[in-house]
Amino acid sequence: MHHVDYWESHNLPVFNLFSQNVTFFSEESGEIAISILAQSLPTNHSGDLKDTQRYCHITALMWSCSKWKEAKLRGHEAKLFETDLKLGQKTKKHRILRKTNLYSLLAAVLL
Amino acid sequence: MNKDFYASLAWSAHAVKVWDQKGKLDYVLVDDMPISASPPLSFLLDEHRWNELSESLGLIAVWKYDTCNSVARDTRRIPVKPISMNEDEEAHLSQSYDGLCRLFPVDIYPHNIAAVDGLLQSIRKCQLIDGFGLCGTPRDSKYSILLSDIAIYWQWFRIVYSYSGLAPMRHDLFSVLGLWHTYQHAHRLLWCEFRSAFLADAFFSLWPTQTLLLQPKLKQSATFVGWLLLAYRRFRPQLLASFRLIRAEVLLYQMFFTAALRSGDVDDYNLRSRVHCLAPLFCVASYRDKYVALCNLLYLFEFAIPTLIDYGASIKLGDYGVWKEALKCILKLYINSTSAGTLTCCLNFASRF
Repeated sequence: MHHVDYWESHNLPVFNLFSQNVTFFSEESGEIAISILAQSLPTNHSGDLKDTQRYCHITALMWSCSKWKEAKLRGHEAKLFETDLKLGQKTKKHRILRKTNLYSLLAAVLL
Repeated sequence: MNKDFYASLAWSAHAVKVWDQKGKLDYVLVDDMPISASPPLSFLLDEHRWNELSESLGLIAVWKYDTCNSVARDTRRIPVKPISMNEDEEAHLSQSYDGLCRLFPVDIYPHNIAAVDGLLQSIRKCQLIDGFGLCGTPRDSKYSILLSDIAIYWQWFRIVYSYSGLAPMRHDLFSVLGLWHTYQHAHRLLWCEFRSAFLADAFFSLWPTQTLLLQPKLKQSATFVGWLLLAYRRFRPQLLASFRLIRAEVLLYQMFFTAALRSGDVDDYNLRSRVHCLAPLFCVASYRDKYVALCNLLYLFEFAIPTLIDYGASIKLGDYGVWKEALKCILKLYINSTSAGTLTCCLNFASRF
């Protein structure tokens, strides 16, 4: 907290980056990359540093390929995915806790 | 396979994130002298500054449920991502700056970054690439940014402020604790604080056959916490009514106890929470336990869970002001949780009435 205050009070470059885009400083991307690396690395290569380094370099590429393959397998999503690629976006896996329905809207109004 | 073999597998991953917007990392000069990237120790340990922070944390209301962003925006996505309210937010959220799009793996180093030796060797590798703290590099008059997780950040913080020989690095390097790790760690904190009292029972009622160790995995924990917040809307009035009732009973009991002390029926003040001679009057045998439990339950739903989800959502939203407010709230959550989760929470909460 004090670090952030210091950067803010002196208007240091990192504060400008923070104020422009906080999300950029989320290192969730690193966790995702390591997760993909661990999943894609064959078990018999996982103890080998050189193999891991090689896989590490192509992690981003593997991620794109796996998403493309996934989309292709799902047929109807493939078309959407191609559109996403054109737009520079990718479909993402996520879950919704509860869908909004008439009952939940009524409950929200009543409560 | 032995211990040495496993130790030899502790490697470090290095990646870079590429900034695609306007921004420079040139030195900021004051009187022709560049300002240090890291604050001096006198700044970090300044008592006045700590008092100010303490006061500002004290002003944060514990009744957060009604005003929290996650409820206002009806955040239901797992992993947490808020619903956009305007076109700018929509554009920002669709870019997924915390995804893989702007991350480029550099290398895997054969050093264990969790250990001091490994950390220093890994930082040295980064230094040779980026040039922070070195003279005669192409980035001589520029700062650098190191984004790391909690273990690396804390280890580096202690090292860089302990050795004067690292002053050039302290001058050039912005060491930033990855924002997402705070969110992940806050989930662990929530389970440590409330697992035995509330969360474990709720967890096993949902997943009776599953094993719960210290905490579930992040995705399951985030889903579970999200469900709790959704359910809270339904039973909140009942919980508040119960809390007010037992608070009134506690006050009444204390008044009778004081009267009993004055009249001589009870002569030991230390028995105030254990004397049951008055309990039949109120049908509250262990009122104090119930009162504390209700305080903690309300604290969990009114402050802890909304704070946690708000912080996770604020990272994705990308708004600096919203994120900083969420950071303050989560700092308060951490500070309140240092005393095993009962007394401080109870006092903080009771003071709101």
